[in-house]
Amino acid sequence: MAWVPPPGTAPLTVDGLVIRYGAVTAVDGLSLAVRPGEIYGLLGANGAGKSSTIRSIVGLLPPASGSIRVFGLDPSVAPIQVRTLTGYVPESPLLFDALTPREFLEFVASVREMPQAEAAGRASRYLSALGLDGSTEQPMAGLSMGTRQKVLFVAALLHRPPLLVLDEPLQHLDPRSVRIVKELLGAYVGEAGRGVLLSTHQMELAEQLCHRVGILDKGQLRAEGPVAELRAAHGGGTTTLEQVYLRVTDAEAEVAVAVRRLSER
Amino acid sequence: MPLREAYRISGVIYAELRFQAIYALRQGNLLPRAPAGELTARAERQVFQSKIAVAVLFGLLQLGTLALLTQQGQLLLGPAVPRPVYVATVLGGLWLVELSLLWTEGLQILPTFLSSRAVPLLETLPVPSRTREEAAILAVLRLFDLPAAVAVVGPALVAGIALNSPAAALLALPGGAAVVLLGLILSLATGGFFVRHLAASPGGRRSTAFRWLFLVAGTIPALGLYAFFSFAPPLMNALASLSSTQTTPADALLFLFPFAFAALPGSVAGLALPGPFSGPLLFAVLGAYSVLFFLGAGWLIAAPRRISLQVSATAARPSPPAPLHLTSPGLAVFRKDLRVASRTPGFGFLLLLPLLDAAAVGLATFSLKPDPSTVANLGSAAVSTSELLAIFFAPAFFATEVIGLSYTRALPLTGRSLLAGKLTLVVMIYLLSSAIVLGLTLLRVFAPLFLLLFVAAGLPGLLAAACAELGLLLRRAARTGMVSGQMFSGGWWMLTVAIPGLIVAALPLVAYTYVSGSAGTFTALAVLALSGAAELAILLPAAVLSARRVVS
Repeated sequence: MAWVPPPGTAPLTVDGLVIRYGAVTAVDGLSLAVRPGEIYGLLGANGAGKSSTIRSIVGLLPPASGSIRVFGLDPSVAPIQVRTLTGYVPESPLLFDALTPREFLEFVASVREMPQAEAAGRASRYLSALGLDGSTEQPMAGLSMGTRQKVLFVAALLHRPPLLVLDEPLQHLDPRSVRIVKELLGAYVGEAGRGVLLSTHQMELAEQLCHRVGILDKGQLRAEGPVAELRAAHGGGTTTLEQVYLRVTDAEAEVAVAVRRLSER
Repeated sequence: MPLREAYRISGVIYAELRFQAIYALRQGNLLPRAPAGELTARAERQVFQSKIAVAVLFGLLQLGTLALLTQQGQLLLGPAVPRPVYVATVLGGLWLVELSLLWTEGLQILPTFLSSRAVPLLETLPVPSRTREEAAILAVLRLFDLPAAVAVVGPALVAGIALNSPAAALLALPGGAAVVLLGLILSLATGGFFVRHLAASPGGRRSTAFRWLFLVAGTIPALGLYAFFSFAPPLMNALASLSSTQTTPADALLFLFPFAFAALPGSVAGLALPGPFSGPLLFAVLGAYSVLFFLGAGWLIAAPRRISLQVSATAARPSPPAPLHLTSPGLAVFRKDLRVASRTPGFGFLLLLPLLDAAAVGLATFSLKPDPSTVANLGSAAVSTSELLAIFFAPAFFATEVIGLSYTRALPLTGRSLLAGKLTLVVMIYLLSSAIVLGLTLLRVFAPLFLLLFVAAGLPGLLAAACAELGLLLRRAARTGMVSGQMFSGGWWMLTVAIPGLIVAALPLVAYTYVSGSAGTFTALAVLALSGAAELAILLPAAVLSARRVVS
């Protein structure tokens, strides 16, 4: 019988996470939590440590130190249970070139030991909603990045996991699909106990979708909180999340210099 | 100057191909944690090692050919064949084998080349299209450089030494070059065809059946190789008729490629072919081949770029969705591997090789019209060969394919399911191979009991060997996170997996052979089964432990 998380347990807690690539420290003492019913946005520039953090959470990258708990479970102790509770959309949708979306979803649903009717019904609904009806029998190699990303989205949602971990999930999607996914995620966390962690560098997306955001810079969490609170703390009034981000990461001056240089002839 | 620029650009493509071949990033694999310089150096080193492995294989074949070209070698293989015909046939045979190997290697490498999408990127560069064409073909040539050089120079050295004539060595060079050229042409033509038609083939039963048919057709080079080895003695007997001045239609073999080229070295060493095969007619045939190869070279120069662009432009056709059909996790791994293999010529070929071997050995057994009492022995030998081949190829090239993919490692796939899927594949290959052998031998003598018992008794040893290989592969994957995608990129390292696997598979067979000489057949079968079971009892837990480490 599938393990059911105790009510009120945080979908995800990360404490003092350190990730190293040789001598380079990619993530340096990161702590965060995704609360029940929350979409948490991890914001950061390229190379800030977002993808490393996410890969560590889903078990692809062993941390150098620190702890990760998914509904209180340690992935290094109960990896299979943690993966059962998690749905993951990787940053790069370059996967299984030789399989068609249907074959890929059959593989994922079989490994997750889902009931046939449940998997088939959900796959059909999600594929149809994302406009993938006509693409399910073509090998992934011939599909666009956006289509592949949608397939990965369907695979992540297929077993309706209580925790969704999404690495730049909307970067290849068209506006129609972005809208659908936003609505879907909003409704998804509305169900009891669920949580979503998503990484992005699209500030507008984070502003619209996330209940709380964490700003990651050079592997460290510089600021965290609801978007409105961060605005109030870093300029107030009409300050955008982009401006907050640039202030928190001390990048405003850098951006100004770069823009000035670019405008020189 | 433009050629130098093309060479410089080809270096960039080649570096990318090396990187893709080793780290499989386009398949979603994560880079191992190491400094960038170390990673590129590792990719360069491993690809070079693989090239050396293929070149060493060519060198060993050439040494074998040198031994066959001695007087003692001829006494063994074709004592009645006139010396000039014998030399031309053996040298031509070496070239045929090299052609098969180059073609096979090309089928392994070129899908990586084409799917890397490196060549279409060149279209954005402000360089003439001719330079882009040259850069693409130079990148292909760099993939084959060392094996190709050995394939050209080696047979020339063999001819020069065997005939004791430097001129003969020089005259063997055109034949070697033509073999490499044809190998590249066949690789590109078939590789491009496979990538366009197999990789883009939709789902569904009918498409799957077509894909496997195409793959079987694609194993023609390997079948050619088997046919040559299996039927070399009857071929030599047929050629012995050339000692007479009367010719038969079968003698026209000497005008076929590459035998016509193989006649050249002998002709300068005083070994002119008999009758109509010497003089003007031979040179006319060689002239015709030269024209064809000249045209082929022109096609080859433009082919890598053209095929790469065609592949990248392949559009998906809309099709109605089909419902999902789920299985157990272990069977899902097995089914996924078969589907991947059916759209990946390199994998599909390796999967089919044991089956083709069984067919070739079974056919040879059948055609030799053996004494009924030896049919069972020949059949068991054929089954054993299939077992050893199944061990050598199947798990080695599939084992880390699943775990190397970053996405799969995020799924709740248990070590047991992973192992079950892979072992099912090995057992399926073995049982299908055995069924082919059984079918062919039973046509000669209907005595199924012994062979069925032999197949069953060999199963534990086969599983033990598969566990040994999988355990090693999984341990390596857990340690480094590396995938081992194909022979070209992982050939060197693969030997360190395949050799222990072969030893584990061979030990029960050796015990069987030893015991069957002194004790009865059924005692020997019991020894085969029990020694395999003992190996399995040790190696299965070790493989399960390695699989757990990978998924945890």
